[in-house]
Amino acid sequence: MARLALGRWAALSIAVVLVASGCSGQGDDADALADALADVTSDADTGDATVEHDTQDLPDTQDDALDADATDGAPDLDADETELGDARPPAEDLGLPPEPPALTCDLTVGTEGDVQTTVQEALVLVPEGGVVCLEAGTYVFRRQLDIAVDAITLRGAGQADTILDFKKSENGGNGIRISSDRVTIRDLTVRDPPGDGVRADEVVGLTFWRVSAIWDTVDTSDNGAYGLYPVLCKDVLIRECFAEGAKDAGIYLGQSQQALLIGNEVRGNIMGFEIENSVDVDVRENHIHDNTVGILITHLPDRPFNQSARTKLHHNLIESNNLPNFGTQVGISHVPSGLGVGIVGSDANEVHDNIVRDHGFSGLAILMGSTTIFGPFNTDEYEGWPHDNYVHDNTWVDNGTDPPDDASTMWMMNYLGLQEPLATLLVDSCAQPDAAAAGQGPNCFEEPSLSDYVDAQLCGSGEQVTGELSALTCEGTALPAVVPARARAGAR
Amino acid sequence: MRASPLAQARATAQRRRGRGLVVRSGLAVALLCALGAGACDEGDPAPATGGSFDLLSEWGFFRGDLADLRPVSGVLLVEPAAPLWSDGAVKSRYISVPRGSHVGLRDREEWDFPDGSVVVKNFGFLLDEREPQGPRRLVETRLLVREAGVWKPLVYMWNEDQSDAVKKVAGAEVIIDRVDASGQPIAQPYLVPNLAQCASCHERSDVSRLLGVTTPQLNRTVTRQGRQLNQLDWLAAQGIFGDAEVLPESWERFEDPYGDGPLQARARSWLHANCAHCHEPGGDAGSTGLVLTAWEPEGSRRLGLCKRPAASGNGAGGLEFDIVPGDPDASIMPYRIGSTVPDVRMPELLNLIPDPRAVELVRGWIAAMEPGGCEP
Repeated sequence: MARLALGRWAALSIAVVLVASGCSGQGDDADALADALADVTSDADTGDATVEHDTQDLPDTQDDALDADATDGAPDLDADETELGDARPPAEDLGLPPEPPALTCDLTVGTEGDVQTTVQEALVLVPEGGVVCLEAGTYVFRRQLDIAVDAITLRGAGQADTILDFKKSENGGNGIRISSDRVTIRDLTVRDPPGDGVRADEVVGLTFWRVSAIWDTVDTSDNGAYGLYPVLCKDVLIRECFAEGAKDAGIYLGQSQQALLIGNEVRGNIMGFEIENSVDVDVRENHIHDNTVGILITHLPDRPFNQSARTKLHHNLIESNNLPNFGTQVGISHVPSGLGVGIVGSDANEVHDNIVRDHGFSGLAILMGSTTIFGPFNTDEYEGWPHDNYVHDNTWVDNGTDPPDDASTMWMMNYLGLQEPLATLLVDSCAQPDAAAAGQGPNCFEEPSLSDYVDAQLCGSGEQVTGELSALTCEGTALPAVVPARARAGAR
Repeated sequence: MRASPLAQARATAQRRRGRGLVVRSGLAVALLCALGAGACDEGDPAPATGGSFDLLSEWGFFRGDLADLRPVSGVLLVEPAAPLWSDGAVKSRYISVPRGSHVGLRDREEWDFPDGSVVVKNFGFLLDEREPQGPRRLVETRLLVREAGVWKPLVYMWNEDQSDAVKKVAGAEVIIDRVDASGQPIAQPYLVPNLAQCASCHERSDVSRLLGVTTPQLNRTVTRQGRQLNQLDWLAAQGIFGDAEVLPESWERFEDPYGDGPLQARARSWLHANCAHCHEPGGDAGSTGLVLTAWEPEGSRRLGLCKRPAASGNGAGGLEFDIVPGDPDASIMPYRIGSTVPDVRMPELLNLIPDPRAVELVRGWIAAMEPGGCEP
């Protein structure tokens, strides 16, 4: 049951595109969309036996996770599907291909023999622009895999079918490490790496499509830090991926530009998503649930790329992010359990048309990037006042109702001087004293369903007050959709 | 693969006995060269300047028994001041520049090598760590070959009888049976890199470069033909710099990390050689904001002083700052250098065993710093 429901969710973003481009019927609900999708993808069948078309086919890993979850009394995802319909974006042609392109395998590797050698050898010997295919099966690695050839694709037989297991890895912190440009990873699962799942450093042109990064044991400090980890990258597409169990962020985007994160599911991580020191990012149609925090958009000090702005967060289902914080590192341990969306020190982001529900601490918090949160830094090189953010037209249900009894939440409430009752929206009310002169505008809220917010007055009297949201109501700047070149039809 | 030390030594001895004459005539040529009697070039065909041969021997870098690593003329020994730690491997390094070509010398990094140049690095282990001059087993030889202005990597793994080394693409784990410094027999695992890993260290902002062959690394006194002289002067005398001016006195030089120089200079030199190829802008760990080059100013936060780590994996070990001046126990840096856990250990790639002397060196450097400064 859960399997089917999630399949529809994963299919949703694609289906929306198809509807918009007139390829299918005008299905109004998730079922119709999913059906439409199935029709269209079979029409698109090129007859290439190596191509997969079944987007309904969900990874067992996700499936298992959801089954386990059901016993924990987590929400029934089938029920969510109806409401997801409400969170669906207006029909909009982003030019996204419905399926990864059909590719001929230049090199094919199976599980027999010494896979450490055969897989790595293929990744070295594949010509520029080539495709390495991994057959279905579980591959057990003792060391990190490295990709250094430009424009290659590493392709499995499906998230449920091709499992890259790094539990016994003894060298290299990552599962897969990418250092070349224009690389695609698709249709596989990276399991239990000692450090990060798939890491890409300074890559221009990067696609993760239907990739899972998971740690089998959820909420333990033995897990690695990041599931999918592009840093200092440009032109990034992360699509229909799944991340679970990261002791920092399931899907992380750091110091990067021009990225589209669409149709992913993240759960069981400390942060579902973290968008850190990045600009021009589109985060849409994701299911972000049961993490400590749903998504953090942050500007951190002491990073070579010293900007954080223009993340468009929209049409996501963000729910029940109340997981106890299982991080050990200072900084990450300050990430408060029970928060849906956090904007810390970041500017000119747009948060709209999301469903945000069931968060004990707060639905959305906008906070200053401070030395208390991050530790000491050089203030000459860091501007941590969040400004020009625009929050509008979201659906808010049951947020700020019951702060989790977790050290991380206690720490944040203590830092902000907060007491119950809390509310859906939280601001620390810190702004640069000469904000207008510095060209900084206010944070604007247009949320008709909400009447008030909690103001910590951290930079003022320090006394917590409940403010009327009308005082913060203004029309901010809407952001255009971000469609990196990677995402367009024909790109891979 | 596994080679018992005893079988190894026996095989080498047998080979040597069989080639007694060759060795002696080789010695005679070397002696003539050393005496300045000329005839050095004539004896050796020039080594290859490109290709991707299956065997190391096909390159022609060494004469006689390959495992003796006796370079042909024009293949020049280079000895950096601060070597990269490689799980305790003993290493030797050579550069080969096409005859008639010259290297553009720079006062710091990025010497301009002509196409056809090759940098050769041999990795081996002493069969008994207590006998530095004793028999050793060669494990791998890595090449960087200059092709169309880019350094192209190749890795050769030595065979069991040490007669040659075979090209290897995907890396390997080798078990080396040897005796450690305390006299205990050990089966030491050693990792040979895969070719995709070479760029992790040898690329900066997508440009391939050399790490040990730089001015400050080579600007030191070495012994050649029994004579002590500055290494850059010696290289210049071999003609590889053309008529470029060589100014060792006014150029930077790295301290031997375990020599008798000032503690700070020794620590910075070790950090540069072992960490800065990733931890610098454009390096593989550029995103961390940690900059460990020898030229990063002392006291800089980018050097790690009171700097919180950029990422919050297990690497930090629950500690808050990369370096807490005066307090090595509270500092992440020595913790990671000293670890054997895959996602904690630094450097991240290949090494399995920490360098105990390095851990002590870095701890000592941090302990000697003026305490304080890590709170807002």
